[in-house]
Amino acid sequence: MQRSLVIAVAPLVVALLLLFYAPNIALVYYSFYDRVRGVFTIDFYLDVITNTVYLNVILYSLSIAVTTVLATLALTLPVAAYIALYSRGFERILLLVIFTTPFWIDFLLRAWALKSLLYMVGVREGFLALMVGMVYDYIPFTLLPVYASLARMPPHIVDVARTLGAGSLDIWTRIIIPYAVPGVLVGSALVLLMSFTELVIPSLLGGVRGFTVGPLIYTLILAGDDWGRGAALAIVITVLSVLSIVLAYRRFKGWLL
Amino acid sequence: MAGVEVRFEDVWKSYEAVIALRGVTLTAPGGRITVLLGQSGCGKTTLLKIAAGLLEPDRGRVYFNGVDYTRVPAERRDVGMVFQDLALFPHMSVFENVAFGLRVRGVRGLELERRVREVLDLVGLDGSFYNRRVTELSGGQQQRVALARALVIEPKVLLLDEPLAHLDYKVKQRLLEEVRRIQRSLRITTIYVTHDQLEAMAVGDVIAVMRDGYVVQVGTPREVYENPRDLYVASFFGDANILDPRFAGLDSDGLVALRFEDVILNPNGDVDVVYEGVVEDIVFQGAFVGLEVNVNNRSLKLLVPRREFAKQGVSLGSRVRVGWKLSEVRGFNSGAT
Amino acid sequence: MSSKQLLRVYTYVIALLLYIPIAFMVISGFNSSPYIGVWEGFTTYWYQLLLRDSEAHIALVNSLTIAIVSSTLSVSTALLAALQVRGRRLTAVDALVYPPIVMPEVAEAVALFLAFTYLGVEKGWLTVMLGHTAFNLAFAYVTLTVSRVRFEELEDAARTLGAGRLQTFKDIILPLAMPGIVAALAITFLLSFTNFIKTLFTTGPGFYTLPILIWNRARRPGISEFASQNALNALATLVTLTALSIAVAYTAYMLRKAGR
Repeated sequence: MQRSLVIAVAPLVVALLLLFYAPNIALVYYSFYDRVRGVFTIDFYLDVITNTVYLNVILYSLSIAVTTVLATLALTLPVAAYIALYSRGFERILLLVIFTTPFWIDFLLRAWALKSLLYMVGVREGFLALMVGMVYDYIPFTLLPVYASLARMPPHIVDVARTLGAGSLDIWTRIIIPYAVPGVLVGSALVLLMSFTELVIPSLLGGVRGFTVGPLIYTLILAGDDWGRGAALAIVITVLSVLSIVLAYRRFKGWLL
Repeated sequence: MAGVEVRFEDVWKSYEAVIALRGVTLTAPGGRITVLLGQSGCGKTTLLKIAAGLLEPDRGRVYFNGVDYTRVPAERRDVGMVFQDLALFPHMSVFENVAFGLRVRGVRGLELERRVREVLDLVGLDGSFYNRRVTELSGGQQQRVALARALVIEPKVLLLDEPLAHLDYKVKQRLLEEVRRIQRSLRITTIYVTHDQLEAMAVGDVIAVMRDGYVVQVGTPREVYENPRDLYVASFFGDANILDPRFAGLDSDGLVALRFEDVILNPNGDVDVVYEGVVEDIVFQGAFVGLEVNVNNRSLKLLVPRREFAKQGVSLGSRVRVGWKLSEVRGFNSGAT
Repeated sequence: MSSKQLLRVYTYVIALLLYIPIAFMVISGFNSSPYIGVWEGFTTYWYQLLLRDSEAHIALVNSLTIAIVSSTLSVSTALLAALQVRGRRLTAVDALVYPPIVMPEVAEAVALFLAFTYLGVEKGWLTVMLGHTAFNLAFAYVTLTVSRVRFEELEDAARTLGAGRLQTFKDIILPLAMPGIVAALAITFLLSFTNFIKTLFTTGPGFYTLPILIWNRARRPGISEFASQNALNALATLVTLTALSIAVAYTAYMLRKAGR
């Protein structure tokens, strides 16, 4: 390998090693090291995986995540369909800009804005506020992938299908939906993973019902002093996330390309 | 400047696990156009890049007029190169693209302007093009800019990598003529890479047929066409029927090649071998008509000049005679392709 | 109504819903009452209050400096690598670069916290900046390498024309890489400026960035006038405007580049 290449890439690699990989080593370390007793143990992992308290939180977070995905999809699919299939020219650009701008506005601020609004309408912290907040924040994340994959549909394909005798139902099931599927999968995967580990919205809007994995880890590490379990839990969710991404990528690689 | 001879001596080059060039020894005579002809992967572009100094051979040497240039880097070699994808600087205008090489050499002001204008005239681009963005031009126009950019620095050697690859037929023909014209007037040593045998024959003074990293045959277009060294070269240039020698009339082993245009339709005696067959396919190709004739369950292809064909009044299913002269049958020692 | 009309109406309704909370936030910032919900008249008092809000000023400076330093560092480091890698797929580097992007933010934040605590580093500006940089490096690298393909040939062309390494870089590569560089800078800046979770875990007592400040005040509104709901709305509106103007400027720049 050429010297110039190595010199150029070295700073990046070293920086990543120091700033990302080294801290993760610390993470793993603390997930095995019991500070109180000064020994290495796998108790933390065992606890996290078997203890019903933790399991409940994990399952609860999962259910929240799944609900978020479904709700967000249900909400955004028609929008994506309209933009990709029907809108043209200026309107299309306008709509895209309208729906992607929230991206630029801070996550936290949007949640805060929503909280204020809900408060005014009489909705306090709780499950409903939580779900509304989750869906609200994650709309762009399903909208854009679905739009993108629908937009890959060749423009006149619907007309072509009609000339070949396809009826409305056929057009939807045989043409439109297959094109939408990759986007739906990508969007769902994204939202699932992100909402599962979400910290801000459950804390801000969930109240008592907002104790999901994110806040749990926060409590363990920052509010409490239980580094062992906090670290173990962090690693567990990381492994879950990475695994599902890798699996999804392998399984659905062909669909996107 | 004109007349620099480029000599490759036992050049070897490999990438990772693939050997691109195997001991290539070749001389590109000064002031002439040498064509490197072959299919993708035969090593022609690699050899060109070695001539340019963009790549260094693993073994072997490159000489410019007897001087060892093997380790001289591209920036100091004074070569002009036109790349397959042109590689015009997208953020610069036509003028700036051409001027780049001169600016690098410290040429400025009026001198710069004069030389850029001169060369743009040479390639047939007038003043209206100077300030246009290169991305706005048509394929043929971009080609000319690339050529101008390479020529303006008055290089020792001109290197062209499939310069006409993405052009329409007519544009291609026109540019081919221009390249020849320009080269003739400047008498600059040119190495031209292509996979198109017609292009090679139209433009080359010397053709080097390459395959799998070897130079298979070197010669003038006529030499290579009429006396192909083996089956590969034979079938590369002009299409040929590959036949069993006994069927073709020769008493030998291996395989023989018989060009489509050497098979005569309904010959009048001036041939050595004659067969009867049935016409199975007729394809009109402009100046020629392609025929497929079934002779004893063998499929023979012919290329008949248009007028000749019209005279014969032949159609699908007609019974015809086909024949050829033994001297046109090319035999080879091995039949491997 | 045809299905098209139906979808159209639906789409615009959703679009509207998307912006109502934001609009509400902006409007509330002008509400005389410190409490949301009761409109007591128009005022710019809260914005004026911000001028006296030293905490917010400090937080702003912190957020800005961290974002600028982090984005500059990460983009230049990533650029250096990206330029050399060019069209080749250096899978080793890729393998290193993707995990930071894929890893859940909470987990990474915890890792940073544990590492800094273990090392005994005092948490504050430096730790927050370093925490942001890890992620920004990866993001910048990916942004820069996505559109890197054509440079190799242009470099070859420049070389055959006699240009040395430096000149080729200055005249050919840099101008063409500019859009990518600007994109990387804008994105990493915004990611850092608005970052919350990693910052939360790497910040120390008394150190605030804007998101942290807002978070603290949002949870305990009664603490001071500064933290009252509508004051917060005013602050939030300003931050939003900043982010939006960067976004607009960036989009304008990209459109101008594309139009050339």
